[in-house]
Amino acid sequence: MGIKTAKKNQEYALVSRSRDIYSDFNHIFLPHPNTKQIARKTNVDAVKLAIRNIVLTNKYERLRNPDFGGNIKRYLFEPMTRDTEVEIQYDIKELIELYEPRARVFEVIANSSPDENSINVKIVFGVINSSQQQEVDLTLYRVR
Amino acid sequence: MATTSNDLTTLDFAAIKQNLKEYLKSQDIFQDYDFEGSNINVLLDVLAYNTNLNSFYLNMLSNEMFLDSALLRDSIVSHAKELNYVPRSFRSATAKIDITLRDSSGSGDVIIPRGTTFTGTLGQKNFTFSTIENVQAIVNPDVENEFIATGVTIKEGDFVQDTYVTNAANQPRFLITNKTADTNSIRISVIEDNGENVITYEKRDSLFGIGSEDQIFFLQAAENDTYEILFGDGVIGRQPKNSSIVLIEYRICNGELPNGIRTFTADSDIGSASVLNVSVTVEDGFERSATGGSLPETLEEIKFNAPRAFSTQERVITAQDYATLLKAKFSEINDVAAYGGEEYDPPQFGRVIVAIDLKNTDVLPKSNRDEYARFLKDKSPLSLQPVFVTPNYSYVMIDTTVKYSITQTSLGIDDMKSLVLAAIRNFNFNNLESFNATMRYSNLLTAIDNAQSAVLSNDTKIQIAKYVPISPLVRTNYNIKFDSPISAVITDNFIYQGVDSYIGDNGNGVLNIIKSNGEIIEVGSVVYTTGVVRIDDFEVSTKANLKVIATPSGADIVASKNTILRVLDNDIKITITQVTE
Repeated sequence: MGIKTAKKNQEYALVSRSRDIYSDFNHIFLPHPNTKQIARKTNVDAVKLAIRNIVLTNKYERLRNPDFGGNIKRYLFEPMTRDTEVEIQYDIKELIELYEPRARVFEVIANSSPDENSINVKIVFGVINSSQQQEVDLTLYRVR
Repeated sequence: MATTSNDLTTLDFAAIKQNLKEYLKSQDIFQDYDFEGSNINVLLDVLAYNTNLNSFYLNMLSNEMFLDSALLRDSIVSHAKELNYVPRSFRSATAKIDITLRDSSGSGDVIIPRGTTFTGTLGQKNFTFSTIENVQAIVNPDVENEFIATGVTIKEGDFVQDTYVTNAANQPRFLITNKTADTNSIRISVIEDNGENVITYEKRDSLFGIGSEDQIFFLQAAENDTYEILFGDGVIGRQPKNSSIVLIEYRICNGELPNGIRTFTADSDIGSASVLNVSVTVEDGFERSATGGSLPETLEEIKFNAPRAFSTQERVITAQDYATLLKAKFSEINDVAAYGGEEYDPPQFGRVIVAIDLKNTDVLPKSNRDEYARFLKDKSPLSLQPVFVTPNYSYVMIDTTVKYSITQTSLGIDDMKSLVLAAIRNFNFNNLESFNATMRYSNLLTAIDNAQSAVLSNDTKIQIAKYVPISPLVRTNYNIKFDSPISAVITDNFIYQGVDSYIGDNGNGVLNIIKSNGEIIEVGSVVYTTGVVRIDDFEVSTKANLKVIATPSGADIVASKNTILRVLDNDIKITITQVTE
């Protein structure tokens, strides 16, 4: 059993070393179906995951790092006007530039849905050293 | 491969997290640990937080395990308990009063009962004082129906009670529930057999000579600034019976706030007697106004005193034992110096000389000496008898001219004078005012220079003064010892044979009375090398104390073993000079 696990670990490590620049684990903590190791997010997916985390984290949420996060959800309790959307776009752009050095933000689009009490956010960005354009779609609800 | 060079000593959250990042550099499965938004960074936060909490917990735990490093009062008190040391609680201020009463009822003696209350007033605040025992007032033979009680001891505070019921199956803790309790005032009565027997218990500090039926209790410090009563177990000391009522009576007080009160009024008539007058007792020329009130021992004091009290083993053998035990017991004592009688002048063989400096006064009243003697009676070796003496006080007179730059500060002359005065007072408080203190001249100059950053220099002269009590209208020889070499002597002015005069030396060891009419009369001698001044056959009627001022030969002033050096505000002369530098 122990030998089998160790062998899988070795394979896992070899595969990861060869291809991945960025690697993180998935927050759902599910095992990989083949290796039975914790599932990973790599490269662009890892950056997208980090962007989601940054935008959805409120200030004072992280231990000993009260400044981290954007408090973006507070806008859900502001009047859903164009001004609010612009402010959200500005805040998210600034937030990513501050905390995610791997991403270069091209555009942030915020659209409010007053009937659903939610705001849809699309973040268009590129990963450093990559020419491909990436997108992250988020929907902010008043209740998680 | 995991690195093995982790820093194990850091307690800082950021450093711990960085440590974990360094560790993760050795693998390449999860590489995003350095990016704040990544999940693994969140995990590192949790790990670092957990490590941080554990480190703090372990650090605090190990700190609190030792008396030297403990910070919490409960921990310090617990360590002191291992050394059989009970930290001093609040102490009530004590005063002595003379009471004049009128009782026309013809009922005979007037007894002032224990607990009779008086109100002491200090400024706008009133404090309740009460008698600590029954006192019998005696008849004033000069005035009909008038009674007098002199030297009645009253202590500040209100009496309160804690009541417990003993239960053999589930014995309660007998806690003194008030944090401002004066533990010297504790009295315990145990009501047994449904009220048939009321047994009084007495406080003991050690196990010596205690039998199984002795009605004693022990006091120990408990948590949250409280104290706890411990009864005997039936082997050492009598154990109260099951279902008895334990009444713990004690005084709660205001610590040092009532110190200095000298105005008292009776709260009510005493029985059938009305109170005509209440005045503070004057003993040995010293007003026994309220003194000795104090706050509980501070943590630093407990840390200092507990090991020393343990080393004395409730016995006074070494000189330090006297200081440790007396200062721990009596809060009014500022400092104690003890030494063998053979070193006293004149020598007193078989005696121990104990010089005691009290707070706020230069006098050691007889009642205090008697109290200290009673306290030390069972603690000193059989052949050694303590003799309590008032310390010799030498007053340092300071005349300083301070130069400061007005380009460096906007402070005026008066401001600067206040700062220099405060610096000298601090110097006095921190360096003098205790036995074996030496006044270091250079330290005084430094203290004055540091009074304010704009001070450029100071030119300071010091002299030593002693106040010699004069026996009025009696020709007396006076022997004044300055304990260190001196170069000149002078006194303050007095009227001698109807002429304003003073005493001064002639530079060759001869003391003369120098009258304002030019007449000079030889009156004694000076030995400059030893600092001994003799005034022979001297009589003056218009003075209580003669101030003798000596100029020291050296820069530092060394006090002998029972001398206290002190700087009084009246002896500080400050001249401020402004310069533009």
